[in-house]
Amino acid sequence: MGADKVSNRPVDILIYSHDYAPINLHRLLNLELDTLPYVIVWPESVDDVMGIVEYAYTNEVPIYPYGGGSGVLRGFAPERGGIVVDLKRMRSIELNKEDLMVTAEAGVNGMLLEEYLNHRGYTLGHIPQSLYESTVGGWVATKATGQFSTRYGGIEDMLLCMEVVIPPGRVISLKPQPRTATGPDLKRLFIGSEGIYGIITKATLKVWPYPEKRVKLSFATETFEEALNHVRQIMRAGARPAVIRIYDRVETLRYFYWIEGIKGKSMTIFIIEGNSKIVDAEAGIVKEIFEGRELGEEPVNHWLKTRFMVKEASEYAPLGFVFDTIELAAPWSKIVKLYREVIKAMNEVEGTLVASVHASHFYPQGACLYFTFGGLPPKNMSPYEYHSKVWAAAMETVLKVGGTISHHHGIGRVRATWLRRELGDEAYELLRKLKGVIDEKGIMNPGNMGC
Amino acid sequence: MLEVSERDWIFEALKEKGLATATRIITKYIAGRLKGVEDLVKCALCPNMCKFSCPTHIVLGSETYSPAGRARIAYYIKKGLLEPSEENIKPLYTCLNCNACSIWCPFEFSLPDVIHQVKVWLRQKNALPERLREVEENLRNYRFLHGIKPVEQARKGDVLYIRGCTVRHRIRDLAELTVRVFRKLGIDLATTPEESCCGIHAYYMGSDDLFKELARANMESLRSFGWKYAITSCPITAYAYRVLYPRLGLKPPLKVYYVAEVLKEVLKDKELNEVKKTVVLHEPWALTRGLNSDSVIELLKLIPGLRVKLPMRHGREVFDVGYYCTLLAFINPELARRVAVERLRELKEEADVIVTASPDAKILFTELGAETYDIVEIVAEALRGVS
Repeated sequence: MGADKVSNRPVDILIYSHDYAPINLHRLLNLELDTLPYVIVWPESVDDVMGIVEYAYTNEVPIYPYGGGSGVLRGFAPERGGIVVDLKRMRSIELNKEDLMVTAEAGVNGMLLEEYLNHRGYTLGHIPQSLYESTVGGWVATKATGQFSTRYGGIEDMLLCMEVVIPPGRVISLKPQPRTATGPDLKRLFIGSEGIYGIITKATLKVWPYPEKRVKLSFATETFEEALNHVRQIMRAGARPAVIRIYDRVETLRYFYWIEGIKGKSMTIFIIEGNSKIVDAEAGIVKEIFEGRELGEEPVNHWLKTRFMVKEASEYAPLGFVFDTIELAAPWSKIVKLYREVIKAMNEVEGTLVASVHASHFYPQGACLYFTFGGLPPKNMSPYEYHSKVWAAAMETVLKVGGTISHHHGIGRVRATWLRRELGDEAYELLRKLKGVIDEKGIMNPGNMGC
Repeated sequence: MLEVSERDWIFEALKEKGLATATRIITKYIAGRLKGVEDLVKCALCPNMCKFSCPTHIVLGSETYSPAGRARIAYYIKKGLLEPSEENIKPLYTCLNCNACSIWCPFEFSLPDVIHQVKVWLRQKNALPERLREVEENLRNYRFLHGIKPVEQARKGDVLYIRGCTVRHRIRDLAELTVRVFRKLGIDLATTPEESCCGIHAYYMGSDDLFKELARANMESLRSFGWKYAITSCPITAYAYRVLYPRLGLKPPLKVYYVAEVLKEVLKDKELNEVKKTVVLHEPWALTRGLNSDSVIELLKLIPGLRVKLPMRHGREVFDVGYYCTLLAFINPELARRVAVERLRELKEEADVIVTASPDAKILFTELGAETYDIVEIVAEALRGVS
């Protein structure tokens, strides 16, 4: 491959030992980096990737694909040594303006892709909080979604086709079509596969003309539940604001403390964008349905300005605090119960100091609830044990209530324990059988998702 | 009037907990705040939200060469997990020091600042990449980045002209042209063979004592001949005099301007020749991010006929290149070339002809075959009779 594409230098080995699962901050601080790869490679073409997979297959060496490293569930953890394949040198972009498609190699950085499109008058509409660090390949592999998903959808709604390399080093290259009825949708097999089947090397995604108009609205309500109900009716009416975010009273105070009289209230913000006539109509629907104290554009501008500022984990982890987020989803009929039960379950774990939630992705059928917890492990309990206990409490609760254990962060190694119960025995066994068929020697991200 | 403050949400949430727990946590919180978490640790723990702006990270695609990656390396070295070997410390010195990361940092850190004290500590332990030792010796012995200073005559004038090491070493024609352009505008530039390097490389290497020595000597030299002010062709020099020296408590006796800052004022009322070109502008970070100056764009707007296009990343978000004004020309020239290739690709999407205010960029883009002009060359074309 060439010497500059391969490294087993100690400095690289340490840097590629973990992803951004918040609990890993404690591993980093305590120098407990125990998942060390043997070697890191930076392929520059699909041929390079095929060569790596072929080598790994022949020699039965594990492969751990790496994009932006922004995963939060230890989906990347080279626990069996092996080869880390960092895709970030594969970063070509090709925009097809007539067909409204962009083809990007897996290593293209999210922010650079969005800037590239904006500069040319387009948008992808995929704006995860990890935009600055994550990659196109990582989005597909983790079934990501973004802050503007209520209008533009998740990555599965944007993806037209992909190129993926599977063992023993073969490439599958699907064609970009607006729709195709050609048997089971194979691309769906790889969306959310988190590296257990193969390495995604390229994706073609839908793009949109850059929105000509943007309307920003915000409201305060007495309760979180009340706001959820208003949004449910807005979704039923057919309006599709790009951004809808409802904060419980803890998070309302956390993010909007500067608004007079906000204490004890629940904040909801909207961004409606696109064609100006459609935007005006949708804004009218929102104003008509949502009952609350109107707070104007300023809270939305504040969110836009601060939405990528992830700093509290860096400040609090060195003081011994454990922070993490857990995103779940449920149909509307179960959403309030899910909210109350999960907050209660996380609070009941000894050491928990804060448990809060916001709702940030909406569908006519239901919504995603994004929980945050923070705590100090009790005496004689490691941060890792405390972290596991809160996760177990939340997972058991969501399974009991009837929601799903993940909305968009994926499974990784943190959630693997609960995947069988989420899917049911037969579906889970099918997942494992598929793994066996595609990756017979089990070299692709072994251990991830329990496979 | 606000009822609450930024951190109140934590205390509100804690109210629902037992008093003992709340007291413990609040005590620990305050203790932690008082003690303070090091900037290096905060940066090392960050999800690396700035890395897409880092030129070396983008071209190498490596986490090791990303801002938070470098902070983690510095942390591991400091904690003893990594030996301070040549191989392990090298990524710290390939940073362009362009502060692109600071634009996106929630703490408003810049990686060069965050790892600086580790570099100082390493230097005190005599750890420095081998290829940089010669640079340090040149600065110590000759006060010139490239060794023995060129033999020159002093030139008298009202305004001191600090050409900068790169211009003196590699593009002397630009220095001569700058003198002629200013003469045409009625300003006589003075040059001195004793002109010394601003010392920024010593700062980048963590050789703070040497940097201070060079800074003090340069400050002293500004007092010499009663000049009105100074201009420089090197944006990094202007940044060093105006931002870094004051950090050492040194107040320059006269202002050091980048050439465009003066030219945009002087040319305001002049009749200029048409320059029929479509160009794309590459500005150096030292002007846009370092000095918050839009002088180059303002200057180019004065030139009739000139169509200036801006690349995707410009202004404060500029993706800069680096060569002699960084440590890259000495430690990894191939990486410098790759960064330049990356930038050139972006620039060429706008226009084939490049105008720059960076001597490093002029050298690199020209070597890569691109038609590249310094802004002074454009001004010379706009002033009849200067070539």
